[in-house]
Amino acid sequence: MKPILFWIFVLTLSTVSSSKPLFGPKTAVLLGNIDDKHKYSQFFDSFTSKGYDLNFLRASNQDATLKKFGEYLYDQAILFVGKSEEINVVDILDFIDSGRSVIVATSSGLSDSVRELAIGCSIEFDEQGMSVVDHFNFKSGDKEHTSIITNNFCDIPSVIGDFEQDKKGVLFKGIGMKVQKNSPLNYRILNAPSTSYSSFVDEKITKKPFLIGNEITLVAALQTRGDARVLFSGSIDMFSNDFFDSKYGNSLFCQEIASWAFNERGFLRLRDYTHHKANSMVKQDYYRIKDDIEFSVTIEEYDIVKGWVPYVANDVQIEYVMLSPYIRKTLFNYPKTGKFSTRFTLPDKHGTFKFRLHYHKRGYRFIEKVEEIPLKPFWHNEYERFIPVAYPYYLSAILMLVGFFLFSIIFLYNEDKNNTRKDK
Amino acid sequence: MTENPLKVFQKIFSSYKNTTTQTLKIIDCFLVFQFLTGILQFAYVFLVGKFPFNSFLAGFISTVGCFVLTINLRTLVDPENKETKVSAKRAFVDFLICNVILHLAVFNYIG
Repeated sequence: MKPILFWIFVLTLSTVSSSKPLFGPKTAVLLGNIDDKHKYSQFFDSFTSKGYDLNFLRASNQDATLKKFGEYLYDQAILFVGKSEEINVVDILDFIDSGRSVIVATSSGLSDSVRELAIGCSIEFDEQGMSVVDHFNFKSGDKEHTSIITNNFCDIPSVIGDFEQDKKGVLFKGIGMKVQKNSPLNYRILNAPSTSYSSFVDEKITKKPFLIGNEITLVAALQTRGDARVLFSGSIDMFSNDFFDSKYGNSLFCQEIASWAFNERGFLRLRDYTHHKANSMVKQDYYRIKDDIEFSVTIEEYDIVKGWVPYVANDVQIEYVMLSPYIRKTLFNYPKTGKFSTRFTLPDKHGTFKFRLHYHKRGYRFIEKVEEIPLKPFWHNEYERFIPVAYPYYLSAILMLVGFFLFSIIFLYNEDKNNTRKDK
Repeated sequence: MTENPLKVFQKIFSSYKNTTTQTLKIIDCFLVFQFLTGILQFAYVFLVGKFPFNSFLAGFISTVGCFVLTINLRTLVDPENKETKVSAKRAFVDFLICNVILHLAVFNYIG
């Protein structure tokens, strides 16, 4: 008996203390060349230490399938395909559609299938063979000026994490891409310095390059509505041990964006969504106009070590909508519990209303909660009665009735002495 | 030829007193009472605002309605009126029924 108890104790202890990836530890690592895995060992080790289970596969191998018998074999994937290796785009797009995250890194010699995959995520790589060149910010000793140093990060704290405090610059060597600036689902995480341009290294430049300066995105991401995150990097080298060991911030930067991509940060969930009248605790299917409502919800963020922790923010809003919002209120946050609540009076207008909580914050999982709660008018017997202000009106109506009664009696018992109209 | 306005009023008043029948005088009394009640309510609404608007409407309409119905009764029972050929009893029954309906509506609406 005793050894079994001991092992149960050890098991529970180990599960409590070790970190746990949100969607499971199984990770596919698709490499152009399996032997390359030693070049990126520091990057891969950072995953292993966080509890991920990495499976190295050859990207162009037909057996490197992510799905078997209609079930996915992996919970997330890393794609490092530098040269013109072909990958199965449809498979990977399906993988993303199923809500699973993917990290993709490539280089100047990217294949058409990687380009296709990127277009599927509304990210457009520059022409094959082109590199991002900068004659001002380059690594010393690099004659081609393609190993550029950039400090042009996005300002989304959730995505770049701890790297925010320690902006040392990131070393990048590879191809640039173009991402729409106002795209709601795409993030431009790392951009090129304003002095850079994208072109072929060994050709003379006769025309203005297609992509120049800040327009060039080096690392971009897509956050799908199905909770998948896809990270694209134009440089496979930025994840390599050589670049990690350099004096630049590659090590921390790559680990931070990778942990964002694998939902270790910025993954929110709703809990205890409720609303009720201010004076009762019962949640109703409908309310009456001018009811006082108390609305509350708990939002939690996933942390790979601590599990679900309270989410702290002051910009979560609830709306009461019938075509357009009649009420929009910012919820008050209790940082200790992650509870968000507010109190408001429903509008003086009946109809089919909805409670709508749409929280689209950049770098966080989208929260969309809509519940139809119609608003009914007063029942006939719910109106206020015997209002003191209205007593004169009641009095006048009663006086009219009494007057009418008395008048009728007097009229009937009255007889004119002369000049009576003759009845016919 | 011009006469003192006061004398004119006195003349009108004395002629009213002498020639009008007692029934009509009673009706006129009732009319004045309804008129004053209506005026008072209207003044009250300006004073306190129109919050229980349905109550005000009901109260005011009860006075106006009564007033109109009583005027009708007065025209029908006036011996000077030679055009309408409705008996006083018939006129009173009409007045009665109309009043009942009016007050039903008023008390339903007063809230």
